[in-house]
Amino acid sequence: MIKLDNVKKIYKNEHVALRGVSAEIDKGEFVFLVGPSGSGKSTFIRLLNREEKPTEGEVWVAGKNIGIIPGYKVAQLRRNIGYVFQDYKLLANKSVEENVAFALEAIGRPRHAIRTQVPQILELVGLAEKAKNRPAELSGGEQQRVSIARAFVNRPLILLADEPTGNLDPSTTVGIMKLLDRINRTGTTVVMATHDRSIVDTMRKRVIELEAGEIVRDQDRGVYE
Amino acid sequence: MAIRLDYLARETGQNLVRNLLLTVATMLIVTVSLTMLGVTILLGYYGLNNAFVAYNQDVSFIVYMEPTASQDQINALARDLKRSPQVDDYDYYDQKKSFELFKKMFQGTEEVSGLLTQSDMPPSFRVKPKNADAAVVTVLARSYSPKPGVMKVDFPAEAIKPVQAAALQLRTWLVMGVIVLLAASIVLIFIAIQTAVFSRRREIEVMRLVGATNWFIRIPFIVEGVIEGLVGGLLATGFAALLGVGWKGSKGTLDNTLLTKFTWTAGQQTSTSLLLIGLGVVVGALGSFVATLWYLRD
Repeated sequence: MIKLDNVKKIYKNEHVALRGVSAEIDKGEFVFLVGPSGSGKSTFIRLLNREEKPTEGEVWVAGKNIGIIPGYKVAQLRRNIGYVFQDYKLLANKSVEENVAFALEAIGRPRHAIRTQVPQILELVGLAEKAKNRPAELSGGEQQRVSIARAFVNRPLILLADEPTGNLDPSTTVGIMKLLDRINRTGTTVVMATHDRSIVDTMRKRVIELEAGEIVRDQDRGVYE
Repeated sequence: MAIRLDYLARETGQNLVRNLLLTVATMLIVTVSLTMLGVTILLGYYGLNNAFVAYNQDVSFIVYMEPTASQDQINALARDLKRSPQVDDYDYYDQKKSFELFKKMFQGTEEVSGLLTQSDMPPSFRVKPKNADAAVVTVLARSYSPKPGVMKVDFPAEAIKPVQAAALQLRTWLVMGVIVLLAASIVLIFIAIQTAVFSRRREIEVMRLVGATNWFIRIPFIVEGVIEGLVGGLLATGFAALLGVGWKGSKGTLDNTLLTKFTWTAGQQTSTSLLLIGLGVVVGALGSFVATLWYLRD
């Protein structure tokens, strides 16, 4: 599903984010990316949906070398990849259901499909009753659920999550992790960057640890350490 | 990827309303620049050209006789004109007819018209040559200067030349002004769209990440620019139509001036209107396309 082959990423300011990283992630896996700030976790994730291009090496997603695909094919690639942010990135002037529907409108889905899919996904994330609320009227955990609903409504093959629990308290974090686990059980590959030791240690999934742009550990059913 | 019309209408409408002041300012500058272009085309191009066509069809030169010229001298000149193979036609204005024309020209200004009497009026021949070429007309006209009883020969075509030169210069300046204003319109539309893109940057970021194509994101902004240009074009067309009505209505006050010759047909008014609307759309599309190209790169 995902393969990084000797990937190096150097930004324009000459900061070296990744130094020859290689890894393979199979379909349906749940992978934690751990490591200190600046270790390259976010760059790793941003390479997977072509927000960034590798300076050297190859990034393969669903059989395509996405480092070299032309710009106009990037949109198609991203429809197979959901993205969850630490700061939710919800649109304040839209209701919960409009935020989710917006993701489907933006890729040109027909109205009847939107009318069917949005209530289903809000049911899945437990926010059916708050469909008409604005993001400002929700708690942090609920806002992150909306963000996950938006990322998953198109049933992507891969879900990328960059510190999705970074702004949440421990009890809310558990709810979000349960939701991501549930999504993973539908066959969706989940790659999640995190600093949260407790959730990594609790879930015992595969752990890839980065340090100064290099993979220093790749462990099945690993812990944070 | 098909774009839904209700989505397009909603997004474009939101963009237009969100920065209403800038939207109105953009429409106004497009209106001003296109109105100027309309005036330039109608008055400076069609009007001027039609005025020259009218002048070319008029008398090409006038031979003024001395007021004291004898009837024999007048008859001799009339014979010369009639025999000349280069003269197409001529009209003879005797002293009575000349005085009537003079009185008509200075109607209401008795302090001028009262200074002269019929006997002061020089009789004249208004001559239309077969060949309208200025050089040929000049040689032909000058050949009548030395004839007995001739006071002077006037060239209306010569008289109009400074006016023509001034009008052409004015037209050049107007065209340059229009170019500057059209460029300003494009820049303002660029800024308006840039502002709209900036105020919607969060939505755009989300759209890109969920897999919206750049064209899908761009189209509402381009439609916004086109609407701004179109409204400017339509308003300019309205002002150009008002100019047409006003110009025709003021003909009475322009009697006996060169400006009465500045006319244009209904067809020319229509084609100018279509050009203004089309240009408004093009300016809007161009400004917004460049803005989205700049800010929504792959």
